[in-house]
Amino acid sequence: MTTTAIAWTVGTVLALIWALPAGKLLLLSLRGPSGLADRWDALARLFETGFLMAVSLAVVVWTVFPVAVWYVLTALTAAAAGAAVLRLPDLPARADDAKASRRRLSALGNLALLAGFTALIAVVP
Amino acid sequence: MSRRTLTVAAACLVAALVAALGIAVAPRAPGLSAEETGDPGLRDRARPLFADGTYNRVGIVEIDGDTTRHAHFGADEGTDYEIGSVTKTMTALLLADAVERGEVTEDTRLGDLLDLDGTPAAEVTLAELASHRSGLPRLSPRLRDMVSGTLEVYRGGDPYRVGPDTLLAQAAAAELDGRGESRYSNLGHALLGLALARAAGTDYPSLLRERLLDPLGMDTTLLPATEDDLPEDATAGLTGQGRTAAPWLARAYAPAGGVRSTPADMEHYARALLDGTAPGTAALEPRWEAPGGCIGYAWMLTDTDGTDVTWHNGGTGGFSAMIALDREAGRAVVVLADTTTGVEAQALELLTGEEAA
Repeated sequence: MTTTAIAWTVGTVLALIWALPAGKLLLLSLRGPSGLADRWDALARLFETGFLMAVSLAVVVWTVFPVAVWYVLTALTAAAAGAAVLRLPDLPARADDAKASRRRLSALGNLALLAGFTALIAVVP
Repeated sequence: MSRRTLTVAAACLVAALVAALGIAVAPRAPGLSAEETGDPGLRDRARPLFADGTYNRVGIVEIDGDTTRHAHFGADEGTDYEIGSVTKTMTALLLADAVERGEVTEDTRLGDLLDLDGTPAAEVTLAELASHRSGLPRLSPRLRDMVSGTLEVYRGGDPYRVGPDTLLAQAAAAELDGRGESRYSNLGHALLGLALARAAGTDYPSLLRERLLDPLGMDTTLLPATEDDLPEDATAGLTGQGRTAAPWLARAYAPAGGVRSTPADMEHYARALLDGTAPGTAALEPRWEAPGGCIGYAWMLTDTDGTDVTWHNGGTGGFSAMIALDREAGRAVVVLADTTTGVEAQALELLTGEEAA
């Protein structure tokens, strides 16, 4: 497998991994109050998308993989973030169900991943 | 202002911030520099060859008999580039030269020169190392080296930050797989350089300086062991992610890819190879079959559009390089670049293509 083929494979896989949660957050936010469980759910998905955005920035070989994909997925992420914020007032702060704690942990964990990875790529050359 | 209006405003603000952040940190794929110097004809022939792919600074040297042409994009003949595995061709010349001096033979065992007794690596010969037929792996087989090397490559760092003792430990841990068959090995060439230096009673940088660089007048060619050894205005390469790459320094793996040179010096090198005045030019002679052609000591020989081309390419975390010779016609092309996108096709096109000089 050539270096170029590896770069395309890694780029395609990471683009999909980034696009899926971003697209899902957008769709769930647009669906109405039934889409997202609570505000922690929205935050968890938003931070997950942000983390995958940072990973894609650092790992994809953008000198080979088309930079246009970055802009398309950035637009999708921006739309998803905006839609999530639009939906926040309609959502309960914390839904009263069995997965509530998991969603809060997921949000905090994804935030930690996002902050940690952003710090990491900020200090490397 | 209603609560709904505030929410819409906040949503628009967040979306705009995310978009702005994405645009601000967006990967930047550089384009070929518009600042050009050198021979206008060569620049015109070269420019379209770099239209696709990611290039920034590029230096080209074209030798045609007694004539030399340069073309530089965003650079000049004194710009320094890491030449990566083109360094192996220099190590190969040192081997041929050492054989001529009687210091070693091509059948000298690695274990005769390095402390590798009892390990499979001790049995391989210098010729096998030089021609990538030793069966040694491409890199260290140790898991910790593989993990740290992969991480270094991804963070744009130098994956070869080891000294001779660690290199020997890596060699001692290696098994031979497919000995006698073609299997490209940076580990093998690092060991070859260390062995030749030990045979001469010196270290690799001193050996290369005394026997090749100084005789050829390659005064701006360096083997920087530390970042302090780099020139103040050293060229910084760009990683595949478009970030600045850390320099690859000349430690134990220097014989496999640690040289930093300039187009001006590579002109001296290519010309000396063509006219046979470089020490150890016998390294270029094809001796064994290899995928797509033949191989000498490190030097590849392939038929490119009916022309026998003797060549070697190179790449580091932020640079790419290619030297290609048409020895029969007395022609050579060297291409150096400060990005990781390969320059092999361009060098071959300039050497053998329809628009070759």
